[in-house]
Amino acid sequence: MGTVSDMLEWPARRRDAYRLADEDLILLLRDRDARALAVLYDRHGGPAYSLAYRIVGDRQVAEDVTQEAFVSVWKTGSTYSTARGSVRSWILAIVRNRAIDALRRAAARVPLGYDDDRAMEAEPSADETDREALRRDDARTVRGALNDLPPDQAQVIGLAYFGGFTHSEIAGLLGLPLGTIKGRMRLGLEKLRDSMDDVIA
Amino acid sequence: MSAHDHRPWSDELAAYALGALEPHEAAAVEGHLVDCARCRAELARLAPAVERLPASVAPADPPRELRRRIMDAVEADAAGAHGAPATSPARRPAAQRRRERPAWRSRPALGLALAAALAIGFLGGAALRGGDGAPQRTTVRAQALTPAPVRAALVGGDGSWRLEVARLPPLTAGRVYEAWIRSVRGLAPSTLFVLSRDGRARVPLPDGLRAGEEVLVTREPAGGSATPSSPPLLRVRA
Repeated sequence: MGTVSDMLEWPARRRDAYRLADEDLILLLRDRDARALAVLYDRHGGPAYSLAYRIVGDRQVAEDVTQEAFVSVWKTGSTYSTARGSVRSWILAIVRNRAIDALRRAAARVPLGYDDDRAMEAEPSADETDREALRRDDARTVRGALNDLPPDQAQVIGLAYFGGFTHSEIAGLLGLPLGTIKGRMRLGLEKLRDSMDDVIA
Repeated sequence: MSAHDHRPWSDELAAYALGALEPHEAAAVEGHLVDCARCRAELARLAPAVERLPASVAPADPPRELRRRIMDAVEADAAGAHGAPATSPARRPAAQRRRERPAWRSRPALGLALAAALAIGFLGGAALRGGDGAPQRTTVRAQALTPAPVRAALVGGDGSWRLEVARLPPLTAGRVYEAWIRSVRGLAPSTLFVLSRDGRARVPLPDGLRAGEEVLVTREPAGGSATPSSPPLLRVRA
């Protein structure tokens, strides 16, 4: 029986594996090739852990969340399709969901703070590759775009995405009508998207 | 359909993209998306903004050993196909490692309501972990002070207590639950909370409790009150 590994031969030298595209690595996961998962972790583990830590605010819980997420990637890689966005977006969506689950298990809530110490200390760790340099620019762009949002829009987006609050919980906490919360989410996301379009253009 | 007719769906789509809808609301959006190409296109336009939110996060370096833990779990799963779940063998060491102080502890809060929510986050996490070994836990059932069903208990020991809530009379719009501590010095506001999706809440009591002190819960306007504005729903004594 031909396997994906036969068609997509595993590179002879370990470091050559790092030349494979994410989508190819996902194909190798379907063959239950653990080496592919290791490369995916090396590529996306840092951002995954960073996101988990941003959401749960606790290193141990962030580690557990990251582990759960990558084990899930390992087990459900076959459900990935390019329609779900990039492999990185897909992995980070899994991380986000797991982190929010962990928050809810702990009845834990993290409010937004783009101006908080964790966001401000954010000098990216030294990375040598161009790919990471691009991502650093990306981070700066996204952070800039978030900072440019009206605070009330950035607040509801952060409470929802990083805090795991539903729109009705946010309405309850802020003492505002549900429609106002949803409207702010929409305006904020539209502005974020437009500012990203500007950067690309 | 005119743009005006579609405005509510646009708002709904943004909340959906952010994962901020209740499950039944998300299901309604997904049902609508099947029939509405315009909303599918709108969602496809909003999704990249959500997907890039993680890029705004400050980089944090995972510990080196996390990679080994993950690969141990994955390789065990690859080898044993139908063996134990891949998460269980490697998970335990994490919980046993030393606990670091949560970074959010020193963060500025955004407002009174959110300051209380912050307390839930920090202490909720702390309470979850308990201590080393098997901590001594005491559970005291709460007494309902209203005819409506109330199920809650005070759980704790060693000076750290939390209120576990399984059932409370519902909130109306713009209101939150507020926990109070009654000591010899009088009644002091403690923590604001709402129930999570499953109707429960785990409410930390940051100031701790001494023997004989009581916890009460009332419904208050969002943002909380300095003194109770409604009759208490429950009472429980430490």
